Amino acid sequence: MSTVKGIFLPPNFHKLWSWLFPLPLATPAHGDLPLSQSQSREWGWFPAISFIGSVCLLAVAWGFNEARRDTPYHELIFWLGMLPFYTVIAWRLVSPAPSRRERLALVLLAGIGLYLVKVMHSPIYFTFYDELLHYRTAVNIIETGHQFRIHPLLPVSPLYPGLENIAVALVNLSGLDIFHAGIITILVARTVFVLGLFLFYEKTSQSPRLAGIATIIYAANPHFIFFDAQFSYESLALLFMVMVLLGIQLRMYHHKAKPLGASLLVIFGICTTLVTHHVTSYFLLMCLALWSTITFFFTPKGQNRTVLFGTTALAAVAILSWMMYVATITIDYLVPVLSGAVSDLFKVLVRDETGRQLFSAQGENALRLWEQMIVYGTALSILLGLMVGAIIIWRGHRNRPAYLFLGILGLVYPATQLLRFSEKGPEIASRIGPFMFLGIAFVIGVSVTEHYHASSHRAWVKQVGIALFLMLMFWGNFLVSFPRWALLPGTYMSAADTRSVEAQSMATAQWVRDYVGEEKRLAADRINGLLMVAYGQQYQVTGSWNSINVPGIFLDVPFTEEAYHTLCEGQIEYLVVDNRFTTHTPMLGFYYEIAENEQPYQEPLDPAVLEKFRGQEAFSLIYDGGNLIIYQVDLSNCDR
Amino acid sequence: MIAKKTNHLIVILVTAVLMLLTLLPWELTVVRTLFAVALVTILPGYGMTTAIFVNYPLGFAEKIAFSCGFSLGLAAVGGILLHFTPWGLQSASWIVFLGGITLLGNGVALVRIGTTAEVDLSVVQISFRPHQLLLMVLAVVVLAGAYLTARAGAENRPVPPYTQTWLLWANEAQTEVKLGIQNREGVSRQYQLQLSTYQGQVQEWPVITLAAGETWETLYPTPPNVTETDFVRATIYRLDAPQDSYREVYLRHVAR
Repeated sequence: MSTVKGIFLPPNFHKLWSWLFPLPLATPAHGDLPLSQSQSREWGWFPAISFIGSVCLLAVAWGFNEARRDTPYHELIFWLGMLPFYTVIAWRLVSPAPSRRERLALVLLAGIGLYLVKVMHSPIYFTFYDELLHYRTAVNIIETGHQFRIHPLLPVSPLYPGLENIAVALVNLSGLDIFHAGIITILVARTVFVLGLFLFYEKTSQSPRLAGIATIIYAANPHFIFFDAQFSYESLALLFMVMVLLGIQLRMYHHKAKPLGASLLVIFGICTTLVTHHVTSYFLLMCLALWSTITFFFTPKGQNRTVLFGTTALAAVAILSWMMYVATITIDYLVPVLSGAVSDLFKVLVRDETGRQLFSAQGENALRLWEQMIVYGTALSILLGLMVGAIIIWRGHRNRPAYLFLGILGLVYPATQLLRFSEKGPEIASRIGPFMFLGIAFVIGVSVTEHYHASSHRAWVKQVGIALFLMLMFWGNFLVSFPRWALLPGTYMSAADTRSVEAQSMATAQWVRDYVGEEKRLAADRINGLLMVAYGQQYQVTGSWNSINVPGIFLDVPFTEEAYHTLCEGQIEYLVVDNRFTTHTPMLGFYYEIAENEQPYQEPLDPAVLEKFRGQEAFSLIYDGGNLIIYQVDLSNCDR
Repeated sequence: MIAKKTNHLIVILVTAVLMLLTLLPWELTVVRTLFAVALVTILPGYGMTTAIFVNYPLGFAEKIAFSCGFSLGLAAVGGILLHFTPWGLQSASWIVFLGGITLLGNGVALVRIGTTAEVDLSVVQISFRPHQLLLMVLAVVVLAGAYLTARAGAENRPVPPYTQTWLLWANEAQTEVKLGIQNREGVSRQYQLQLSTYQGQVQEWPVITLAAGETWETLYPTPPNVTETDFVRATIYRLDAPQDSYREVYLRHVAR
């Protein structure tokens, strides 16, 4: 027994104390080469890995083409391309040998290569749901030359027009179409994002090695390949957010004496984030608040506190002002989702409701058992990496607020996984992913760099082992990034977003624009409605935004007076009917709008459901394309 | 080694010339596209980066990141600023805005950097050895092949054949109907088209032959007996399967 000021302490307390609170390291050590070697201009293995990577991407393209033809081995070919591509880059970055130049080139190869996967998934037109929403915003700006025109499906999009402005500038100046302008915009944004992320991690840790490893781990986040590579505002806003974080690091530590450039970078980054994406701007604000709080508790009074508090205050004023005075609709848009998720989670925690069962999807939605094992393995790997990294950060780097900030950001991960057990929570957990991964990647990166040095025993075994560990993380996260059937292109599926966007629906939307005119009020299912809005430039009336029972018009039989009144209420002039719903069940669980059906669809719709409009006095059948037909509604009897 | 100012002088000259060329009504598709991409994604930020980071010379990676980041940000915010001008977002206003910032940024950079400052171009030298260069060339070729393969696959993806048929009032007075057929079956098709009302058939067209992708369209006077209680109907038969109607569209008289 020992005593401290008269308090009795258990045996070995000092040992435990000194293990938990050793003196932090004076300078971080992450197994880097000596500066002279790190700054060498050698390309190392980069050319060879570029060649291997390009062959892997060729296999991915081949896998996609086989998937379009629905041949049996398309998935195998696809994985034989994807997994080696990521693993070989991770394997090289884990090694202490590459120079800074090689590391930078490798992370760029990973970032651009994985973006190409998305481009090759949909190489001739946009097929992702959000992309088509933003396509319409861009069309509106091009047509009017001005901002803020109402968007029927995503009213918040015109209020955050940063992405569309860049694409419109390219369209106006070059004559390119929106699709190609969008591809170029996101390609540049992705390249700069990866560069910025590497530089942020490097400025934080003083270690190109840790920066490279953390960046490749970030590339394993579920949204990196598709969601944050699509023509959508988050893909761009992430870049501006990282610019702010990088600017703060420069302002506080690297450009301390004459901080004009870094300060402008921070201010500019905040302004561009707030006009580009609401969710990213809120997360930026939360991150700044967290970083400030940590700095307040863990560093002595000084300039750094002022910088962070000032930046947070500026961001708060700017972001909240934009929300209150320009994008007020955002509150109505986000609050129900957030409150729903919290309330669901609370109910699950107090056992008021049974939790959502994981992997409960059926049929083509369902992950196979081995895929489920990979996903569970990924979650466990992340937890293990976080635990080890968090201990290392606490013991060796707790005097560095940026390490603690990223550590706490990463440790949000276990908490967000609880949300997956509630009904509305998975979407929130998924949306937090790209922001949380800024921390997760760094923390796991720290654990990797501390455990594997050039001098490590059996260095090559460790290097291969870590690369495989990272591959597992990449694989599992990719599997849950989108529904299984959306990961690869393929034959038509009903109500399946990217798999439902095909030539016939697009041609019909274009026909409506050419023959019926623009901005007509119409009702349709989820995908045809989206295409009518994007390519047809129509106004889709929906239950969500117009508060009328649109699914009832299509699904209730027989056609009643009440349904006609609904058409009158929504001033719906046209109905788009997709006859494929009589042969396909909806992959997302609904054809028209969420919760249209109490029970999941076991069977496609009865043909009588969609045939009911035929012969009704209020309808003219003006277009018949076989699968798709369009009725014109006579609203002249609405007043009777 | 090269005088640091030279970069900015070149950017100013090239931007000024291209701004003029773009404003002139000449067809310069490739040059125009390249200039547009550079003007939106790198040029405005390049001058700005040098001007504001003059005290801390940046590395190549930082310079690229900040130049592109600032440029994208300027276009993102610039769109909102242009919205409030009478000209809005259009080619000329973008050229003036982004080109102006490029000239201004590089001008400020020229003033702020010292006259004797020099830049070490070896930082950006692509110093590949012969075998590395060969591998890089091969990588680019294979990568281009991958993209083209995916593109060809998407373009040639099997699409179920279909024919579009439509029937619309040709004018507000509903005195004529517009009838159309578009063949998207992938092969040439022959169609037979009949127009009828409740009272019976009013018109049958001779066989219509349409090549793949071809459209046929006509205007036809509204039959006199089509009133609020009647309709005009167009029925299409495919000549290779004449027993079943292939498409059917109908139009009711709408009270205006």
